[in-house]
Amino acid sequence: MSDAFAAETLLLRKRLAPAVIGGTWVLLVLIFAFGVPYIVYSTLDPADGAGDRADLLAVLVPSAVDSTSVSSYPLFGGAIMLILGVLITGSEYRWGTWGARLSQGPSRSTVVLAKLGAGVLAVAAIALAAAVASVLASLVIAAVEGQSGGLPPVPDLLASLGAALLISTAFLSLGAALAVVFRGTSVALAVGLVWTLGLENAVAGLASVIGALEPVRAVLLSSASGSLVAGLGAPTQGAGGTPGVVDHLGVPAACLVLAAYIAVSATVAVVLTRRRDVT
Amino acid sequence: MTLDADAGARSDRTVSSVPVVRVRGVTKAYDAVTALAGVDLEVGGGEVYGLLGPNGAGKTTLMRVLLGLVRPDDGAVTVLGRPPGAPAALRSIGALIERPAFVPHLSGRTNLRVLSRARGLRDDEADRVLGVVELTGRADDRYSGYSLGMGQRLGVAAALLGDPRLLILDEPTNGLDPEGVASMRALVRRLGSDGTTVLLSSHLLSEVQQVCERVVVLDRGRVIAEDAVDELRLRAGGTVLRVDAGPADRARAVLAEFAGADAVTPVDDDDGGGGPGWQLPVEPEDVPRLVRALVEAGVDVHELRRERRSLEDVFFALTRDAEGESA
Repeated sequence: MSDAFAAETLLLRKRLAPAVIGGTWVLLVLIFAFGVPYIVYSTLDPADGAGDRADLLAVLVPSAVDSTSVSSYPLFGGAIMLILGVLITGSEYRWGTWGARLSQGPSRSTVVLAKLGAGVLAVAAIALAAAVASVLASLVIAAVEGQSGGLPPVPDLLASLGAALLISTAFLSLGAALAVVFRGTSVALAVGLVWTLGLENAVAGLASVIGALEPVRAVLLSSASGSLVAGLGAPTQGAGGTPGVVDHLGVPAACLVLAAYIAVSATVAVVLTRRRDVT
Repeated sequence: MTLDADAGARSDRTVSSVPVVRVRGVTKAYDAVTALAGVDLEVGGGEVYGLLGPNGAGKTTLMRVLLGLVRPDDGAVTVLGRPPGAPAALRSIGALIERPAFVPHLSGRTNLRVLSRARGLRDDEADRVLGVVELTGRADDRYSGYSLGMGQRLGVAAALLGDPRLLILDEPTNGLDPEGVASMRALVRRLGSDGTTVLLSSHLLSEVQQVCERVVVLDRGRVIAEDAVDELRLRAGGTVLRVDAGPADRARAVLAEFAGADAVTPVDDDDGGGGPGWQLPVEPEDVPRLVRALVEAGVDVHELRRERRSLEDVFFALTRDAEGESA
């Protein structure tokens, strides 16, 4: 396993995709989790909008950075990590390199798991970079607004980082599995993004009026991700929070659903890669 | 390109009669297309073995089967004593199948290092094989900027990673210039003499004839001949008579009447012969009778000589026969 992992981490380290996707994600977090809300905060009338200003500032200061930094993951972050997952396995079909990859010694299962492992390492680095950028942004806002620079307790920060990693890994695994299912990147990206950004939201919305759909909503990737983030203290979408943050599940159930996505996606990718001829 | 003379010299392998590759009754079909139809063959240790056949004969499928990339529908295969695709065997096999495939925006060196690490080898093994194929100077260029020949050399370098015991090369001379072809021939010979088993497929039959000890000829997924190259050439008629004579239509008519129309093969007359040329099987004792027939028909005989059948002649004869049988 270690040989295949060493190969896949080298491959991923030299590829542009993780850096571009990671950089894009950090920028999006800074803009939409901190930049835009701070602009809105700044433009609100201090007299008429005092309550809204206080609410906005409360999520922008360092003491709330643990929940604010992960609040964008359920919707936008997940989609970004899904793209990375698709590129990790799907590009091998485009380049025609599966044959070479699978004839070096490590078994097919090992190669696929090593790819996923390297991907997890990449999303961990991206999650860490996004967290650090969030802390810095909140410290800047606190300094400008004369607020306390005190950070949340370390366990809360670690929980936030863990949630980001779990959500990212679930979406990454799904993307990697879709690319194996469709033997390439284009269809996998289309199906993955339409499903996670469109159909899941539609199902979740319908479940609010059609009770029979509630069990389905409970096992949706975006619902589980949003519920996990809400469990960290982020305001839900209904309470004026970030889109995608919901409270459909408790934290343990959300973690279980995300873990199940990782397990099922990895299994699908491994089984299909083992069974198919490489031509 | 002058491939490094020490490419395989690190090995102290000896030629062994124990089969490195054993294929028994292997069949494989893709939907309605039969790629392999009961193929049997054995390749001994240290042999340089040629795999011949027209396009679609099943050569590449067979090579993929040996690597475990394609699973046969039926039959038994062992490679280096293990089932195809077994990790322990794969680490001792180097392969270039069809065309080299690498990550386009990574350098040749990085591409090889990725494969090298997957084999549990150090990064400097990639540098070594880059030296063998004389790509060190362009090793840090992106693969997408490589010419066809350079890409082919990188593919060969990848196949040489870890000094494999079995080398599977599918059309390794594709895109190489004449110097590159000669160097590839020298490399294959050297590897074979050092005890590396080489399974080689090539459309350049003269190359195969020069480097391979035994060949198998596949056609439509079936083995239609398998033997030592020299035996195959002898068995397929040994020698033929080359006749350069004119006028062409009259000469051809006499030759066709003498040996049968199907047995008369036109040959290029760019080798200095005095006129249009043909090859046909004629026993030595029948030559005077043929000459008399030509002269009596008013044909000018410019040159008569006995030629040994080339592997190319044998190949065309065998595949033509197979085509005739299936028609």
